Amino acid sequence: MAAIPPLLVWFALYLYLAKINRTVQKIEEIQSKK
Amino acid sequence: MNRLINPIFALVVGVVTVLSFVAPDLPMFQRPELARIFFWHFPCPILATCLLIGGAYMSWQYLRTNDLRWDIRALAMQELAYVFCLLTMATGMIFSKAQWGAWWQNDPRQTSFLLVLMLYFAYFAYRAATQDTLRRASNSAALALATFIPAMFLIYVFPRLDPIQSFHPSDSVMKGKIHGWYAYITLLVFALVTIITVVMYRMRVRTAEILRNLEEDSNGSMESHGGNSAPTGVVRPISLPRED
Amino acid sequence: MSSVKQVLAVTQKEFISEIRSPSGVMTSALFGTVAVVAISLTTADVSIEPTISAGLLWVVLLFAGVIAMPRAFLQEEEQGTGDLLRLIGEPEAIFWGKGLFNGILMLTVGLVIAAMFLVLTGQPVVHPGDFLLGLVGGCASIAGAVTLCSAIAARSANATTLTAAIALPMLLFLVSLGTTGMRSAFGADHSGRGLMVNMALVAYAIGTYAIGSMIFPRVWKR
Repeated sequence: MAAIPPLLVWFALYLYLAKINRTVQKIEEIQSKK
Repeated sequence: MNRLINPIFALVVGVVTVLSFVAPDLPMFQRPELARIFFWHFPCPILATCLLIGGAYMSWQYLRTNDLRWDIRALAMQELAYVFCLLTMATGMIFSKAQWGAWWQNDPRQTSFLLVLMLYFAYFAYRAATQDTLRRASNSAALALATFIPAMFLIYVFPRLDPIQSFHPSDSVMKGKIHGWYAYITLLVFALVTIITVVMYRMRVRTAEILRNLEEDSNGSMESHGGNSAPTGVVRPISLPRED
Repeated sequence: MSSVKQVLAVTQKEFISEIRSPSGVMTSALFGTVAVVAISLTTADVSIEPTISAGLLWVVLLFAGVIAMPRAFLQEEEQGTGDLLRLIGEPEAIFWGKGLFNGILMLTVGLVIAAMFLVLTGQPVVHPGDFLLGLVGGCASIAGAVTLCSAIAARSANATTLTAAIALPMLLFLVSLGTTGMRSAFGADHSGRGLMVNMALVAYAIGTYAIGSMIFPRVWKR
């Protein structure tokens, strides 16, 4: 059970990073259209 | 150098995570071997509080200056704060199961923190429901400020009120019950998570700003920058030049 | 016009428009009545403990308030008078005027609901002073918080529901305080905390109005 909290913390931060990455992809999409 | 940062960072994350398992058991807990949940539980509410304070400050700055950059910063702060609020809740529930025997204890700390989660959920619900950028920015800033004081009350004052008995200790760090190995590793985890949070915050703000600028350009700058222009929604009498 | 006069003028305007089309009072009165009757029907053959009835009463009050209050700002936008009000009124006066109106409305609704509740469930009130103080403080807090939230949400999509959604979390904590206070007014709690808790409710009401009047001018003209 002690293994769950660190996994949770890293996973949540990873998800947030993925969210930022989506924004980056969106930026690239818009820039490629120009 | 830049290319080395990522592997080094990954290594540090791994080492700190492993270290938190190498630490000896802490006998003052009900289940000493599960005391190491503390390393990961403790930084979450602290960081969440710092981020909430930051979010409230940036919301205030937005209301003062009407500069949309503050709105982006406030949003990033609130988002990260919410991530850590959720983590606090999740790790707290696991801790509660391990040490008190049940996922949900109706402990005042748990209950008041659940209320905090709902308070801040309202912030995101509001943002999702509003389309007008400027109005969303100013009104969600107002909402963030309005929820800040009740949230701080719920986190810090309510569980300490006299008649309310909580299982949750509030003196484990201040009075040195956590020391030696445990204190060092706690600090280490805390520092690491803080650094990552700061990096993520900056990334979030930068990407959001770039995206906003791009979208503004493609709109032909239809939306005003905020700045010193008149607030939208105000009807002002104007005079039109005569045709003749 | 002095500021007090302005506040009273806004309140008067609210009263007049409420009398012309009393939908706010009607809907919340209907809702409150139905909720209280539903409680008395579902608990017809059991006697509810004071502890539980305090909680039930507060839940009804909370939802009645959240249904009735948002109208104050929403109707301005629905009728298209919001822009005119923004043009001629001082933001502080508008907040306090509408807040005052909402407070009076909520107090009326609260008193009616509480009276009906007491009659229909047969719940005796041991400390009437505590009961009234808690009711007044609680209703004023609900009014203050919902006034601010409805001003924030007035021009968003789905405004009524959104107002309720953002006001309820702020008020949940109030309900837990109010329930504790009402428990002691119903004689179920002898620790003597009733007065303290009810004073906290009054303080909460003052706090919501104070914060509201500080924040409101910054969102009203956007």
